[in-house]
Formats: sequence, C-alpha cells, structure tokens
Amino acid sequence: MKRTASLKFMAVAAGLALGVLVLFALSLLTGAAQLSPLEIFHALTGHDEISEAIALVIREIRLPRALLALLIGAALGLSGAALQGWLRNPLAEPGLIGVSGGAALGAVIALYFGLASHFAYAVPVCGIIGGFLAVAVVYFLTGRQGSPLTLILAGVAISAFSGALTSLALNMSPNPFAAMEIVFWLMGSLADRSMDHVALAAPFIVLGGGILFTLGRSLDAVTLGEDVAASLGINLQQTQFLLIAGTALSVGAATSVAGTIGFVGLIAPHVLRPFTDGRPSRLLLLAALGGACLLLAADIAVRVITPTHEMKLGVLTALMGAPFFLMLILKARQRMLQ
Amino acid sequence: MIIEARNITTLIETRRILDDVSIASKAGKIIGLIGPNGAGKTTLIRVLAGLVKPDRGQVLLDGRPMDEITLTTRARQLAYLPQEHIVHWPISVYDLVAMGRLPYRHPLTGADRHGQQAVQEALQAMAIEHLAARPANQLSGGELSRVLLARALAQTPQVLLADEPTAGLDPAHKLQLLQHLSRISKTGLSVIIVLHDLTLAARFCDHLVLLKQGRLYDAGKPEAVLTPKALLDVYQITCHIDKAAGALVITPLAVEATVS
Repeated sequence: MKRTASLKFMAVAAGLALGVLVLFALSLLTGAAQLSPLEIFHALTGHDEISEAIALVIREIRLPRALLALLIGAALGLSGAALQGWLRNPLAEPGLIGVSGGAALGAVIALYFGLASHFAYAVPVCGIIGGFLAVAVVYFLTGRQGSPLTLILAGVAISAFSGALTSLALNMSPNPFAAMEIVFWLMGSLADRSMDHVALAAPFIVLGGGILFTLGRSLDAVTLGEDVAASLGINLQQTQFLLIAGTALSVGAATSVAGTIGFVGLIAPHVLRPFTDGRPSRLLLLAALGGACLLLAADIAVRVITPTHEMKLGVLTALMGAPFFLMLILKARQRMLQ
Repeated sequence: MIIEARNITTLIETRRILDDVSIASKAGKIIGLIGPNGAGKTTLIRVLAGLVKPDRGQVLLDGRPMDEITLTTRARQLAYLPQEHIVHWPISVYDLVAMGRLPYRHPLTGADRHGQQAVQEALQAMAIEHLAARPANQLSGGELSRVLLARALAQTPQVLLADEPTAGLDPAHKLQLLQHLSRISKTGLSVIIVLHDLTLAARFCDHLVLLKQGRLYDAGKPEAVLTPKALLDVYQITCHIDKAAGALVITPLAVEATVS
C-alpha cells in the first residue's frame, strides 16, 4: 500500500519535471521570429554558425523569459502549497500574507516617482523592498506566538492597505501615461525582461524556496492540529517565521520582476493534492513543478493567442483562475451540504 | 519514567485556572484526572504536555525540568492525545500513525531505523491493520480514536497524556479503547488520562486526581476518592455508589445545587 502511494507520487513528480522541460523548450521556440530547435540549441551553446541577431534573441529575450516563468511559477506553486498546508486551508494563496500587495506597492512607488529613469532596476528593487517591508509588518502584527488566524488577519489588513496606497498612486499620477504604465505593470507580465532581472530575482527565489522545502515535516505534523504538532517536537513559532520568510523572499522577488500574477499559487497545489495522499510535505515538490508548468504554459499562450498585442500574463492567469476558484467554492459548498 | 507537576498555578489575566496543583504519574499505572467542567483538567494536561507554560510551579520529566529538555527529546518520551480529533487532509491511516515517528526521523534524510516496526506494532496494538490504506478523515469516530491512539503509541513514549480519549464514543468503543490503554500501560507506560465518566474512571484508573475549581480536591485510589461526600462537594450531585465486577459503579441521582 505504502509503496503504491510512493510510486504514484514519484510518477507524477517525474511527469511534471518532464512537462517543465518540454514547456521550457517550447517557450524558447515561441516568439515573433521563427527559429528552429537547432538554431536555439546553437545559440544557447554559443555555436559559431549562429548569427549574432539570433543569439541575441535567444539569450537576451527568450531565455530570461523562460527562466523567469519557471522560477516564478515554481515560487508561486511552492509557497501556495506551504501556506495551504500551514493554514490547513485549500483556499490560501501566497498573496494572503501581504507579500504580493507590498511588492506591487514598492514597484508602483518606483514607477510613480520615475525612479526607473535614474536606475534601470528601480522597479524590481523597490518591489522586493516593498514585499519585505509588508511581510515584516505582518510578522510584527501577528506576534511571535501568533496563530495562523492572526497571520491571515494581519495579511489581509496589510494587503488592503497596500492596495489602497497603490490606488492612491494611480489617483495622483501626474499624467495618463504614468497611470497606464502602473496599470500595465500591475497586470503582470514577463515580456521584455532581461537576464539582469533573472540575476536579481533568482537568488531570492532559490533561497526562499529552499527555506520552504525544509518545512515538510512541520506541515505534515500540523495536519493533526497545532497541539499534536507541538507534542511531536515541532517548533511552531519557528515554522511560522520560516514560512513567512520563505514566502516573502520567493514571492516578493517574483512579484517585483513580473507584477501581480494571481491564482497560480492557488491552483497548482489544489490540482496536485490528490497525488500526495494528503501529505503536505509531498505537495511542496509537486506544486513547485506544477506552478512552473502552469506559468510556462500561460506565458507561451499569451504569445500565441495574441501575438501582435500581447495579453498580459496576470490577465490570462486570472481569466483561467477565477472560474477555477468558483468551482472550488461550489465544491466546498456541496461538501458542507452533504 | 515519570512526569511530575509541582505546585502548578496558571492564570488567565487574574483568574486562576489552576491553583497550586501537584500531580505525578507512575510507570505502568493509569492516573485518572477527574472533575467537573471548568475544573482545569485540560489545562493541567496541557501544562504536563509542555503546551502551556505555568505561571508558577514546574514540570519535571524523569526528574529534569521540562524547559531544559529539547522538543525532540521530549517528543520521544512523551505523547499527547488532545480532546479534538483533528485530521485536516485525507491522509492514509498508515501515514497518520507514522507521524508518531516524526521525532525519530533524521531531519534531512528522513531515515528512522525502527520506524516501520514501531508503526506496525502500533497498528497491531490497536487492531487497526485492516484500516491502514483508508483515508483517516473518512473513518468512524470509534475507528479514528483508535488510529489517533496508535499514532501516540508509534512515538514509543514512556509517558502518555490523553485528554478525554473516549469522548463521543459509544459504550462498546469506550470500553474497547480503555481496555487497549489498560493493556498498554501494563507494559510500563505511565498514563495520565482525563475522563468524565466516573464509573469508567473507577474501573480503569489505578489512581484518581479530583480537581475542583482549579484546586486539587483529593487524590488516591478510586474507592477513597469517589465518596458520596466528595461527589456532592465537587459535582454537586447525590449518587448511588455500588460495586460490580470488583469496581465502583456510580449512578448520579440528583443535582443538589445550581450547577453554574
């Protein structure tokens, strides 16, 4: 019985890993210029026969985009799985603890004051700072011994406040173009990102993700309630701190380079939970791979569906995610009525 | 190994939930913690489990203050079974029982030399091997209570603290669970258990601790503690006390004063 469960989990993990590889390759193949797989391979390996222009398209435009989709999708899926496990709520998602709202506000402040014209990476840097500050306030409000409920309440309050300040920036923006820039950024996109964006976000995402991956045992234990988890030797305060820090690092960095991309952190864990036999520790890996697959696929889709006027990535994930969210609510209601 | 609470006082703001209470377990014996609702039984058992820090007094595990013992070491010696039966995800019974091995697993590799054997023994001890593949959140109350006890046993503890493990069970399942517990305690396990059913407490516990409004009212053998006077004083009930199968049978007859 135990072996079958492990086999099922490993088969799904392997399938998702393969999916990530395939979608990553497809992402490199997708774009305005029609390039063959061989040209892409040569461009990536620095082959002499490839023209400078093609090498530039691949290395500076498509590769960063594919890498960011992979990293950000994985960060969102992983942190969604960790938060759902910790809060024992399938409706939890990374934005719940205020990190996305804070990162968005930081980036909007950079756009509003035109900091990007002085320093090219002002938007993502301010985003990361905004995300960290928001989460620091949430952590301070929750208190060291705060329960998951206080964490949610503090997260909702800070998200609402960040949202209000973002609206204020829009309201006060000096001209319609500035407002448009903010609105477009908020919609979330991976277009026109460079390897510098990857270099900026990747360390935070990898570090944050690494922290979240260490929480499997604790997340399994809270399945039986906080008291049992504590009696099994789990340090609840430390776990909550690491969860918040890991999410802040990975999702803060993700939001600051890509804008707000909703629903991936909600959908990926939820779809993959049936393959984990109810063990939150197993969901971490699957949701990270699943999130990467989802975002890579969505980022390919926005380029294929609307090649001339690219649809924003956040718009597509919301269009797909909102009906899914409704379905979740209906299912939950059905369960309650049974 | 024994667990001992000395002069425990806990406060919620200025209200005393526990007032200078002392209690100690005994290896191979079941200590029953009894008293009316609000007497402080759950708080006392949570203090013993290290989940609530007392405002005064200290808890000793095998003579060592609880604060000085690491969480993992404590989890290997002491298992706690809360009153609520919570299982949040559709985890299998096998995996749930195996959670009792968390304190033994290597933090990085997850290796646990005696893990499988301990889980198997716990499943056998509770006679739930046939349930191993079932999702735990689809079990009946009686099945789940045995599964959760098996999880505590998989911890291979020396002290077991259980808060009303028979709550919500029918008489057959109550008896069955306490018989399991009684058998396990004979292997040398120290058990402290909160019980509401006084007849079951009298029958299965070697020693009773009676709490009244956060204070220790009496402690001793069931026959010595469960007297008509004590039950009138603490529960404000008159009772008929009889003996059957060598143990006391307590039948409440009337409430003597307004029970708040």
